[in-house]
Amino acid sequence: MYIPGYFEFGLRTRILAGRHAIDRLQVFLDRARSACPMIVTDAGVVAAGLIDLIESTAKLPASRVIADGVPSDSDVDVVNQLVATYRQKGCDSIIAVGGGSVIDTAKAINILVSENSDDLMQFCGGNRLQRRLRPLVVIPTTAGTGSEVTGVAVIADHRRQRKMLFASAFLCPDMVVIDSRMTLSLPPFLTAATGIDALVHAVEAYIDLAKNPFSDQAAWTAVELISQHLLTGVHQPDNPDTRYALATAATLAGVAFSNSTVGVVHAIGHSVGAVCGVHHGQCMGIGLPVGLEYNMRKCGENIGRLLLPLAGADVYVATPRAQRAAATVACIRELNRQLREATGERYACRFKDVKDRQGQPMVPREKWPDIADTTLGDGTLFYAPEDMNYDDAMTFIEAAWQGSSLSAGTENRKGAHVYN
Amino acid sequence: MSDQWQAEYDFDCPVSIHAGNLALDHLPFELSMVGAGKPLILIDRQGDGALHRLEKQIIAAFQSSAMQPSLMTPGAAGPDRWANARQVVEQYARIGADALVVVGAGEIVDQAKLARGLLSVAGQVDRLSVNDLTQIQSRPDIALIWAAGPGVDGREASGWIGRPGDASVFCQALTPDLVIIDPRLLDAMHTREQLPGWLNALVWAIQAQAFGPGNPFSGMYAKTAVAGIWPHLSFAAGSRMTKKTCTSMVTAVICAGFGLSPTAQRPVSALGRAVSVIGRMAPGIADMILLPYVVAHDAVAVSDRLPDFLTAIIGADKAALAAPHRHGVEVLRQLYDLPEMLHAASGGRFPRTLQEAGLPRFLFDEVIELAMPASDRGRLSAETMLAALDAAWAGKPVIN
Repeated sequence: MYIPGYFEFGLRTRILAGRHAIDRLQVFLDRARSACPMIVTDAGVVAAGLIDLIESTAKLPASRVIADGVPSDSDVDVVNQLVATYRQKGCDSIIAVGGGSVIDTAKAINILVSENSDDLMQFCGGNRLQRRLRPLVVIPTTAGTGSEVTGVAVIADHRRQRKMLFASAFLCPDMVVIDSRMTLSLPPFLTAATGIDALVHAVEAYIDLAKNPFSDQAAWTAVELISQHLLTGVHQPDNPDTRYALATAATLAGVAFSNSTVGVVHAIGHSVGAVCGVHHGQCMGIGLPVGLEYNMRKCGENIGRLLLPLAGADVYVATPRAQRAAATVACIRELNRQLREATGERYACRFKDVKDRQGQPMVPREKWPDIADTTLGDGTLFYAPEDMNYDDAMTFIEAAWQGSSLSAGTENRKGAHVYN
Repeated sequence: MSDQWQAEYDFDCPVSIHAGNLALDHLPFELSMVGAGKPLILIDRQGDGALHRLEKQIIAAFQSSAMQPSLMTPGAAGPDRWANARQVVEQYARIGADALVVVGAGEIVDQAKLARGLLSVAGQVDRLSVNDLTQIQSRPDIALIWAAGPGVDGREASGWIGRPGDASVFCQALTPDLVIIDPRLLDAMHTREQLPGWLNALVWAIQAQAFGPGNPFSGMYAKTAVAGIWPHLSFAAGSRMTKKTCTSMVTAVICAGFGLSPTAQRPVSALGRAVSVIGRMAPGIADMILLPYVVAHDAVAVSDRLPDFLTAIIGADKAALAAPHRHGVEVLRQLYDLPEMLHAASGGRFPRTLQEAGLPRFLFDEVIELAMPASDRGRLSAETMLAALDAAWAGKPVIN
């Protein structure tokens, strides 16, 4: 067991889980003494009938307020609008039902209503909150972000063209409800992309410098569950066991990375998302094998250990120790390939194949310098095992674009060939 | 999905851990983050040398802050720990404190938890009934921070008051908000004397999962506990631990407390408590000797639940070499071998069997009688207990 010289760990969120966990939502309302919860969600969740399901099983108070206007890329204006509704209707708690955008919006609403403020910017940054916020429960409808157990929210300010980061332990939701029924309607591409997002959370948490024995254990279990269930989840979307396992894995991965950190795959992924508008999970899947190769020189042993939860004991034992890290990368590439096949090629294994609705490439070469520049300013590089400069970032993007191995090139300064 | 998990579960363990070098120096900052500026600090005064060191460390931690902490030493554990808790409440009100910090382990942490309970209820209350305790909602403006000192047995960071498996109550709301594990506070730890407490924690972690109901989160803590405790046991038995391994051990022991579900069955502790009372031995030693003999009688535990611990005990590389269907049996074998290993490491001091621990066979009936009423005995019948006692007395492993 690896124990660093110093570490911090916390899991502030209560976990309510099961195939019928929603039925016990009353536990939250009782504990919060809430008579008028505000349900923050989006139109897709409503259309999928999930709010109806919650209302019919959880017996919410008649005075509850449903705010279903959260867009996929929520911003400060949406937050302000929903804060006004919260106050106008006299709400006293928040139930967030949705994916990352909904959850982050709910956290931002909670900051303003708890601090009785109208200026979200005032709380931007780390540790700007000093007391508990209003009760917040999260019911995730995707299995990927991990935001349901983290103290972080990201809200866009489109007028200022920037994203605001909020980080505080007080932002952690009070409770998360993991119910397999909530993700049954997730389409194959989103199942693949969000599942891979969770996998990257777990893998980067396991190899990064802020790792500790708790984050390791959570990450390990998450990797095991995702490798066992992700493909089944794409092939058999109606399988409640698989959905439950993937939702649990996503939450465990959230516990892992929020107590360790993520790294270079997220740095590149955030930048490709910001500059080119590519889906976050898609960026994660493409970036993961390249990111592992990039870090091999510094943490090849840890990458090699992940072969066990990813591929199972037989493959692990049959692979010589010096080749396990490379085998881990090969295993991820194979998972990517299978996901592409299972989603009718909607899920891409390289940036070259990511196209918009008009069939135009979303990550053209002319945008690479912007991506590289943005990457170098990304905070997730801080605890990454391997450092990165502009040339490294360009080499990384090229490999991810071509779907090739970093070690195949001669120009890269870091990579698998150094480790082996 | 792992078959041994509960179909529906509720996991709540909202404790933060700050562990490692200089962790104590974060205390003023952490207090300021919850809006506290005047903490009442309760210090466990066990042993003169330990007292001096603990006070010095605490005062040093506050030197660079503007805070003026008040130090207090509650009375020693007595028949009525409520009296000590009331003293704490009175002092808290007298100085206008806004947070409780408890330094030490065991009884003093229980007193701090009870004091927080009393402070959280409205009006003048001298004590709370068990029912009140389990229903209580702690006031968010009274932070409870625990800095681990010598004597940690694992339940301090959880909602337990009293020892699990003994007369104990679980009160979720009295769980500390933050745990600080700083090697400087563990200086005075005598590792050989601590060994029974640490073995107890190991047994709690394994039996909580073996006899369920488990879930992936309690499992995460239980496996971290076993992985952290196991490799250090032989060093502890031989009094050969370093500052770093002490910190690791204490961290792992605390994890065992997190992994304890208040609803889990504890058949090993139920029988172990009876053995320790009748046989006059430390509970951790009785529990450790009994653990494999009790688990071996539960086929479900061996085949479905023990396998999870093999990686934690022998490491991923060796575990991968074992045939998957043998993982449970391999864990059982490791558990049978542990007393032998501790016996060797301790120069023959650690007993390998109940016979070596001094329990006469003719007292078995009394042991079973004492263990029978325990509500958490679970599937353990009188016949099974007798068989387990017989085998553990003679040191005859049962492996199917």
